[in-house]
Amino acid sequence: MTALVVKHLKKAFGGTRAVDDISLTVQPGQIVGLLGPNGSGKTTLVNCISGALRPDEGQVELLGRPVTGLNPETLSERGLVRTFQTLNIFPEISCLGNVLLAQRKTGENILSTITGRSSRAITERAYECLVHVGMEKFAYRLAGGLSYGQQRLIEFAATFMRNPSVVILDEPTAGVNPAMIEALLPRIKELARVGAGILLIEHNMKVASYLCDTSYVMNFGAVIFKGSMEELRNDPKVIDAYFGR
Amino acid sequence: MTIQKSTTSVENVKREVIAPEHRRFSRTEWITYLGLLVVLLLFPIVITEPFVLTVAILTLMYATLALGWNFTGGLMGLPLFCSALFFGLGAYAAMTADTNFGLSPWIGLVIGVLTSMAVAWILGALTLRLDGHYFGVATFVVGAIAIAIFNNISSIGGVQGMSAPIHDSELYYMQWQQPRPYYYLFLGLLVLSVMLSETIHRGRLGLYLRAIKHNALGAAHLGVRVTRYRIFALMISAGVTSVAGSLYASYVLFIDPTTVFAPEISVQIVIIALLGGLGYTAGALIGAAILIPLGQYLNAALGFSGQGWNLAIFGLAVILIVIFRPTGIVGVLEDACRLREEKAGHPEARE
Repeated sequence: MTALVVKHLKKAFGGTRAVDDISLTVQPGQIVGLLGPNGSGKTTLVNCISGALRPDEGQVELLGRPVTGLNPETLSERGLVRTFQTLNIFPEISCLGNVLLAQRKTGENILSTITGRSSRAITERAYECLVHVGMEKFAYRLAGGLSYGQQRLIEFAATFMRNPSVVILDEPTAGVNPAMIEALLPRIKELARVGAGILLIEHNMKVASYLCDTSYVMNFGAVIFKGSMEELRNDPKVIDAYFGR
Repeated sequence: MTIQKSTTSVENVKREVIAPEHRRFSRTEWITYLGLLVVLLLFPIVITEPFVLTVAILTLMYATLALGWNFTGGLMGLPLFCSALFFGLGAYAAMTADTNFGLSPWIGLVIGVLTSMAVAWILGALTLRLDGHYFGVATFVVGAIAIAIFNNISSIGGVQGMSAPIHDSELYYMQWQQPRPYYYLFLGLLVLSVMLSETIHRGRLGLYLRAIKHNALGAAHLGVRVTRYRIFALMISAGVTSVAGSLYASYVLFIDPTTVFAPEISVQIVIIALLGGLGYTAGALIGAAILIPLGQYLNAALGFSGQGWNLAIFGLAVILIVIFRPTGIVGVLEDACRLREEKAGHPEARE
């Protein structure tokens, strides 16, 4: 079953068409690149997919079920996880707490939420997610005290915690030093290897070439290219969008 | 999706900095809280001066009110400026049950809690999509509207307020000649509020609220039901505040809209929480223990000519806190403890 299907999605702000009739698909285990110059509409598109914005037209399907216009909480519970250009880390909460926040909320009720702590099994699972990204020794440190790259890894541990079907990564390597990028890339591959479909927004062409199986390039809200990274490098429309004539 | 099982356990990780969500009651905390409880239990037995007992009752009441406010204002970070609305609803519910229907104020107390929580639910649904100052202004206006509404309901006294009839049955009608039983009632409420506050701080709700406070959209993308938990926190604040209002009405036996719905009550609660330390259970206790006796003794010392000086001092306290120590007194104490541990080479401080 296709992990994510976007059909003819449109979103306009006043007279500006930020997303203009976009369709794309992401299969389980596939890493799909979403590229394009600044202002091309990539973030607006993922905002529409992830429930932060309601699209004007079009449909979004997650694992075959229509999810268009659902709020981020519901989408998250259905298996869609999104990271942001800026870190989605809570600095006043411990690293383990940040991962625990990502636990599935199904079955929670008023009383269990007020009085309950996370069970030992869930806490151990959160710890395993930290081990998986090599951050287990910081489990009880406040996340705000870590470096930017380390916080990115904590964010990844939280993503693993959710068992996502689809992950939207919005420039995961932006602002991260080269050594930490080396640590991050295998984690992204790992996410795909265990079955998640990944939609990756990325400006770094080396990173996109390394990770993506196929890519879409957007400009002025529309898709101007779809194909492999090899084809992308030689496509005149893409070169024109990035460098102009 | 499965990830590899780790060979180590979270139990083996050194707890370098204990965040609230992993904190368990230490022996020092138990001793402090129990010691404080013993002192508070003995206080009205040792001190029988009526004025001092009145001040103590007000201190206990405001500590409870600040704790109630902390769920919304401290943990969740939204400036709630209508605590007096829930306080007044609780007061009027208890008083109306007794005066208009001849029922026990205890029944009124329960009705007050349910009403306040229902109002909080409606208020939350309408205002909790607003952020920061907008939420603060909206709640302030709602609080002011309550005075206008209750001033115009003649069946519950309107602008003239209402007095409770005097009864013989003490416990059933919550009426005693001496202030001591009231003191213990307010102390009991405070103890329950502290327990609730600590449970929430260390439980999942506290974790969710702290996340929402920092980044609501980010929390939503991790599946945290932002609006639901915000309304939750507001309803808990309203419930606790309403109980305090019901006890207050039974204590003073006379209420009117300008007294129990007064914006000064809401502002005073915020100042207490700010001074003690936003979001800390101990902050509400310390803030109330300093500001309420100070205000009451200033009022008594300066008499009629000095009215309002206590408010001026409260205002000055807020300015000084915001400029020098936004984390309040508990924040200062925490910093001092960390510094001391750092000097002693304690691993918890080596970050």
